Amino acid sequence: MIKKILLFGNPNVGKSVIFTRLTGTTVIISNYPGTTVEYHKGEMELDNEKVEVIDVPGIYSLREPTNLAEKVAREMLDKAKEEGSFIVVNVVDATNLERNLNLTLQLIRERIPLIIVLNLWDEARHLGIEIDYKKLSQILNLPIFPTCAITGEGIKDLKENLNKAKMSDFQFKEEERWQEIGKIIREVQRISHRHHTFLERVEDFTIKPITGLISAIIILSLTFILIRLIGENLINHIFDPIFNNLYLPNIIKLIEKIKSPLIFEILIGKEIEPLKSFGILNTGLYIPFVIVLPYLFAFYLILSILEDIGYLARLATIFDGVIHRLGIHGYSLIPIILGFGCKVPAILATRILERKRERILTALLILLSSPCLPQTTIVIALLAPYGIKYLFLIFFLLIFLSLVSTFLLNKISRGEAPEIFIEIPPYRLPYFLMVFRKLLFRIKLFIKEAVPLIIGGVFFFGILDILKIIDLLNKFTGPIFQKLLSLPKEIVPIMITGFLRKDVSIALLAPFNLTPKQLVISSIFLILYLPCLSTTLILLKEFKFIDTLKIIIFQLILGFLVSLVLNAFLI
Amino acid sequence: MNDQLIDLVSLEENTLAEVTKIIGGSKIRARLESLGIYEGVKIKKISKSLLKGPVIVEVKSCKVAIGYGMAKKILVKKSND
Repeated sequence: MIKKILLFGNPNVGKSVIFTRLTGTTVIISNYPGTTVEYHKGEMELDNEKVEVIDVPGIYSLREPTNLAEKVAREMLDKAKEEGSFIVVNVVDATNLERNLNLTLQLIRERIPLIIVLNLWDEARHLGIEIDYKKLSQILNLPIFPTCAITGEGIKDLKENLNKAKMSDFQFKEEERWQEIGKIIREVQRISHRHHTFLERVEDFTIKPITGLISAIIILSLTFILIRLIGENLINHIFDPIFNNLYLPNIIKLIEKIKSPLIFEILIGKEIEPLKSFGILNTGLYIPFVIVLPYLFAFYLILSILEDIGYLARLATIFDGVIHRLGIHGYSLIPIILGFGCKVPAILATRILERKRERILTALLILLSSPCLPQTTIVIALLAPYGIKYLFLIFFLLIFLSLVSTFLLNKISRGEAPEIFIEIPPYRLPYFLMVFRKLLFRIKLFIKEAVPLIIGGVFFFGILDILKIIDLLNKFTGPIFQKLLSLPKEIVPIMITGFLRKDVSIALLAPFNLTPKQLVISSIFLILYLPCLSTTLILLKEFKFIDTLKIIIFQLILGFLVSLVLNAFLI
Repeated sequence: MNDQLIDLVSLEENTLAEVTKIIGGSKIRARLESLGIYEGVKIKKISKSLLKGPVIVEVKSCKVAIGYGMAKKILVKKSND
């Protein structure tokens, strides 16, 4: 009797769609213990019994694991072999049979009950690839089911025949695995001659060095415009009105009934307007749900679409040459791009990187290379009247500083930059159900992991505020700013707010009638001096305390140094 | 002249070649092999490296990006056909 089904396959073969088709709604996303590798787990009914279905991370090879996903896949298989009563469903990309059979042959060698799904069957035929799957089934001595997971074709057949999985008696010499695959391919596959499709021309255009760079810049610019448009509209027309008109007045009425000023101050804050003080049911919810979530939604939506089209692998490849010198490989670009929007999901996204060294270098680049999107908006609004040169100064200085810092850190820390080695998948139309599922998973992850931290942080600062510790801090640090950076001492309370929400802190500079020079210095300072509260907490969660502390101290020193230098040399 | 070994970075774009030697230990070999690159396999170089960026090759009708340092370790022989 089958108790467990493991889905094995290469990345980008539609394995997750098959998984979704098999399991339906009760899906749990989890991290493999002790790693950042995520996998999905669900259930399905088989002969009136509940069976566990595991979507094993996509891998190319089982032999000699060379990355984390392969290690996890290997362990999952070994565990299943130990427990028994399991089958492996090997999802194979029909448009790419030869490369995919490599994993299939390795699975056969494991002596486990197998069933093969030939997915993307219709697309293969469309591309002029004909596969005699019955013959393939004979050669491998395994049941094979052609499917088109996106339309659902062939899935019913697969579900009804899962118990036909069996151990193959196909024999081959391990060192001649690829030659053996070549032999099989010659027997079962015929490719009819065809012209280059339009999509293939686009594929070439977006990956060749020069045209690839041009198209990357265009695509990235469009992405940012779109994300800002979606994010801002969500905040202004949906999230903020709901919070301020529906939620806040009612919760205040409710809490006023308790008639305790202390409880009111902890829950709502000294002031009623969100972000002006530290109330856990006010600012504590406003930050994650009204400020971060809408941008997160917009970012993840666009990112998931780009990912499913197959563009992200190209983007990573195009920029690899530049960022490889910083000790990280092309894939780090994805978290860095996320960071232009909001640092919180960006830091979470560094989980796709395998080594701690890469993750910290990438985190540094995320934190230094750009302000977050709301901050960018305010900086532009404040400085645009004085001419574009100040804006250029700020943004180029940030990019320059981040590159130099990461470059130097890479030089002084041990270890070396990993080489990029990835498949460039063909472009495919995204399957919108999958895009939305992924979006939902990522938002759930944010709510589960980041929201409690933010609320906790707001609570902590609220207590500090009530105990007058923040006032004390203001008094002591005020003169330092006045003397060193020629900034008004009123900027100190702004720094504290800045820790909560950095764009607001910069916006609060507006009433001071600062000169452009003072504006540039205080903007740069407020962008660099500390990560915001939410980011700090996420850093603490993702990295060790000591590493987070190092990052924060580094930022503080850098912020001061740059402001000092600017104060001395900027005219 | 055609039998000369060159590394993948030096190979011209849009040429067919056969991988003849991979310089390195079992780890890099295993990594390359997982995507179908091993001694004896036929490949086509799709695009060259810019600013020490990756080289892109087509192998077994898939496109694969190979980091500059790794591509330097792959020696190939140009095919005539």
